[in-house]
Amino acid sequence: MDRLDVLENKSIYILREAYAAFRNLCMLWSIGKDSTVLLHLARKAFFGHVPFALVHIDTHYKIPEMIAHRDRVARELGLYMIVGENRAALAAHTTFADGNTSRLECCRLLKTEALVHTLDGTWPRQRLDLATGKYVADPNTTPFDAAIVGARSDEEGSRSKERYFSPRGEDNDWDIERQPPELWNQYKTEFRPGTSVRVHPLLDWTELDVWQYIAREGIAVTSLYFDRGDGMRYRSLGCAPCTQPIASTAKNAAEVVAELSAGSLAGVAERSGREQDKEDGGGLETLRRKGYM
Amino acid sequence: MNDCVVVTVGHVDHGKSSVIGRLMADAGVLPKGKLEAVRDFCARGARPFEYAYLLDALKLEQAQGITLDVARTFFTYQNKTFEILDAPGHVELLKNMVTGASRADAALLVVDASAGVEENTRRHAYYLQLLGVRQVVVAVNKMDLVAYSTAVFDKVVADLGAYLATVGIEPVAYVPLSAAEGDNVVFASSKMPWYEGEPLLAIMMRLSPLPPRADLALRLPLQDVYRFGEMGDSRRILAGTIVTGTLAVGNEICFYPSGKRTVVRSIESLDGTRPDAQAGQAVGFCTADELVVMRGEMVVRADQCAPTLAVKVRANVFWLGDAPFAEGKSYTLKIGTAATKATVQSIEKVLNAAELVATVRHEAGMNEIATAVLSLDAPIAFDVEAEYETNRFALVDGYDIVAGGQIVAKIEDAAYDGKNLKRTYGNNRRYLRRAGNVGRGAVIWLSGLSGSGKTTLAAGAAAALDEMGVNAYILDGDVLRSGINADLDFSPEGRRQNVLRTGHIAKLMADAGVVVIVTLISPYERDRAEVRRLIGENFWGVYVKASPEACYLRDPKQLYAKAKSGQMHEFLEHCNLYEPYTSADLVIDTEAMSEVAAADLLRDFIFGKIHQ
Repeated sequence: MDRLDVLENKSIYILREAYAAFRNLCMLWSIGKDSTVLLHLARKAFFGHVPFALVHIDTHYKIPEMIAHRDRVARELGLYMIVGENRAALAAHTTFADGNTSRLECCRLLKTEALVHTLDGTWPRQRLDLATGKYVADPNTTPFDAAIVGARSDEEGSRSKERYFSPRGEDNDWDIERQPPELWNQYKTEFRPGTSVRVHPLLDWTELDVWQYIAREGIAVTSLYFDRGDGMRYRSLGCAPCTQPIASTAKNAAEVVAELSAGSLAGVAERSGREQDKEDGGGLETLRRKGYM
Repeated sequence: MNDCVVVTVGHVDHGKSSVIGRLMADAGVLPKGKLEAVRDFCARGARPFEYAYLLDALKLEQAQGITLDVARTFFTYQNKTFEILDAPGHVELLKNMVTGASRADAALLVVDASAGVEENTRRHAYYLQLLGVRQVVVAVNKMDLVAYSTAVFDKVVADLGAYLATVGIEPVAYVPLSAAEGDNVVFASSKMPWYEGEPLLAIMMRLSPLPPRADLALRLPLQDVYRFGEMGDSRRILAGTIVTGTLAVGNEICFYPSGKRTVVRSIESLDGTRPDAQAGQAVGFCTADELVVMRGEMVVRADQCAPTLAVKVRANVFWLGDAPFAEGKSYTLKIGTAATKATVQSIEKVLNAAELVATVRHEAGMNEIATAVLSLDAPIAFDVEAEYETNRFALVDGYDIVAGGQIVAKIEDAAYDGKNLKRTYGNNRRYLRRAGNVGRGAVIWLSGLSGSGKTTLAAGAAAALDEMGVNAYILDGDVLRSGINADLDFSPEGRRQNVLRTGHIAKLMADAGVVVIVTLISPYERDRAEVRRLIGENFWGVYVKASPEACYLRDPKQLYAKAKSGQMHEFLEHCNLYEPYTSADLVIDTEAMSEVAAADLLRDFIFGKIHQ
């Protein structure tokens, strides 16, 4: 077995442990490459099926191609696709793009808050009607007790300390100082009622692993990751106002692999195009402690 | 595979993070700008730059100056990818070190030459052996502080070597180095001409993970049984990851502890079927016979050696909990995918790993290692031979993992050993229930006229489910009417209350993991809708359909006879009041099928729902 085989098999084991442990499980799908790989791994783990809801938090500032890609894939695969959003903040224009908040505060409102309340069912959930392609209110407001997330530990410092099964407290806080032990392949799967758990099957994957796997498996990712003729492509996807494309001529996964391993991107931080990371020395850690992905 | 996961261990402040930081800087594998960013951070904070800061990525850590948790760092050097787990050296953070070490292929044990071997140097080394980390490289750091003295280095090697020998570790190498000055980390040092070995990086390049053992007998802890019938898939797939050995289509397999046997019919994957699979692979397979087996069984090949089955074991337990590990206490033991209650029958000795001194005590505290006899509620399957890795377990107290351990021996138990498999299977079913592996709790609400067959149907389905290991319970409306609902009459409001109270009780039981089959006439659609809302997603309504004529002929309670004689006027009225259950999830027409067929239909419906 090569490196990708080892990673794939371990991730599948974790996905199956999560499915066995939690009654109301969902998977967060940001439409980015990592959670798209996660979706593919779920289909492998469950033999072509995705036996839980996919949750996407729509900030309404996502790049339009991402939304189109989401709905196309969801209908192709017959996914239970849920979308959540922070309606109050959007209505009140308390966003960075409107000039009313900082980038970090905008992330907290449109992503973290929306995520927390979509997961616990206190804010409305929209479900994709696979027949019509339209979103309708989902009558199911049962809290999700666990969410599978595509976080990788090589993305930035705070993610490198995550467990595979990571509890969030009642306020969705991440208590870094008191994380549960994980021994061999025994993970903490018993939690106090009301605990929201994040499951991280991709912790051991690097950005290069993800692209090599996308190339090997022929996984369809949004074309935003590739140069479509203007010599620019996105390396990391987020909201349009805070995410910048990079100069690159990589037109497919194989070319991205070449670029990352030996070319112009070797040794350049992945999230260098993500502005919110730069606002505060440990911006992402501040967000993660409050429930950010 | 050539890539390697390396955990760095050793006493606090001996320089674990610094060694890795220097290694990455000198090897030229840091992300662009990272070194400059950390130098800049130190300059702004008016503090001296340290290589350790490269790894201590969290602000909090930089404030305290120690590694709080296991941080993963990746780097690739000459096509070999390392994942470095930087484990904390503080004694109170041992569980974090254990978390890192339990998944490492190799360890880098860092010792400060100027301080020598200290408490956690020894403790961590002992844990490496317990956790099964067999490749250890010793980095004797801070040689610059001892004037690169060969005598100091030799003393560390002698002291540590003696200790490691007693715990059964033979290091790959001892390397004298200085992270601060860069001696012997990536580049050979001119200041220690007496050292004839290679620098640290060259030694690390020769480390590689021990490959999964396909050459051993098959061990496959069953993780789950999948049926995706609602998605139009008729397969019943048994899933799990092969720990050791190989599996092929046509193999006769045996499940432990149940003892059930069948043949592998196909090995499934997203891309179609395959002929075989081997150690390390997460697989799924279909069997020739549709056995009722559940998560927690160990799948082995009938033509290979069987695992050990026991209800009592001797184990080494490394205790990480706040409350002491004590005789008489019970915990949940998780081994492979199985879980059972384990009671500490006796603690034979307690070891202080730092001093290697064993004492006879009946309690062990945090970070101590106890040898104990554990008595189990249900049999477990394992191999004491370490190469199978099936003797490793975790103990859970309440919601928390409080210990790890390894079984070292089976202890004979006259009451269990030699009993037939039926006894074993009985035990197994009990433990499966307790572990919650029998599907989720649910409320199955049977509504229909008196005499429609609700009770018969419920009894048949519950017995069948029980046979499969599902914890099913019949909540009979008549029974409740003579107890908790004795104050209620047969008025519409009385009936509504009867439905809601029964619903509340059923919900509580379902939350506790029970499959509750409610038999209650519940004639009104609005009451049935209300109880469905009350219980939520685990509610399934079943309309047990039969004509009043058929009910009259069956007349199990003589109610119709009484009604005809005028004693139960309201009951006859109810026959007309019963509103057909049009919103039911399942309709079973008891006039159209046999009792057995109806019970099978309900059993399959319930089994499918609780395993969704």
